[in-house]
Amino acid sequence: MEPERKPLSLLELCFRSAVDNLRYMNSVDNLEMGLLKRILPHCTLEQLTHIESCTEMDLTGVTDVLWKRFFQREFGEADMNVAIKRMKESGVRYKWKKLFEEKTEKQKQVEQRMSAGLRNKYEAANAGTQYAGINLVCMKLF
Amino acid sequence: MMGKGGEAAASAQHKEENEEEGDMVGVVKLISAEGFEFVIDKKAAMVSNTLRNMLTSPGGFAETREGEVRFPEISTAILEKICQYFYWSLHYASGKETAEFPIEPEITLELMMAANYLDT
Repeated sequence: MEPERKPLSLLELCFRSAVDNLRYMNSVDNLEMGLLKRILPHCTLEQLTHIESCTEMDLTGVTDVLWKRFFQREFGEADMNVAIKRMKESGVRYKWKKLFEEKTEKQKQVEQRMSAGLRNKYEAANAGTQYAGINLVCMKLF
Repeated sequence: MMGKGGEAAASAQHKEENEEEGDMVGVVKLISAEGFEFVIDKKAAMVSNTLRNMLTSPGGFAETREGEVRFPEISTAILEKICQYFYWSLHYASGKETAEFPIEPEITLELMMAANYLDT
């Protein structure tokens, strides 16, 4: 007689299905935190952002540690440690999602400033070349 | 050879097995939030640990006596899927079923909440 095979529990099958379909997931309202703890760590940055924006309840209890991981991955361990140190010194604790968003915004501003600087330099250099060109034409004419 | 004590123990064990088998015989009615009734074998219902506790508890849940369990928070579509899982689970364990149990993405979260409640 064949030994009995143990089927996967329905809960386990649901976890697998949820993880496989994270890209379609919207609101997770009403879902217990214990269940979310098993699903959300599989999210990409974009998926987690989307799910949190679609969900009314506060998911910080589950997602804070995930945002900390995204912060570390995106900005490096040194920046993460700086953020931890500053929070310790000020005695204020911020959500890692907020820190991630602010750091992203700050970086975007730096990039914009840098690209504006480069553009200005290029334009100035270009204007100089044109001016020199005009001078050359004028010299030839006279 | 078994002594008298052994016979008594064997008899008690046999009685217990019969009782357990007795618990598994018959049908049970599961009623969804919308009032739709699913009549399934007790054996299938007992795939769920929550239902098993309800149906076998000696304390006497009303569900045990009446053979019906109401789920005011589980919709008909989800309860139907759960019943399908119960039978799939039995067939899979006995080797009659080899295919995976299909779960549609759009019902996954609702089904997960119900599965969590039913401990199945």
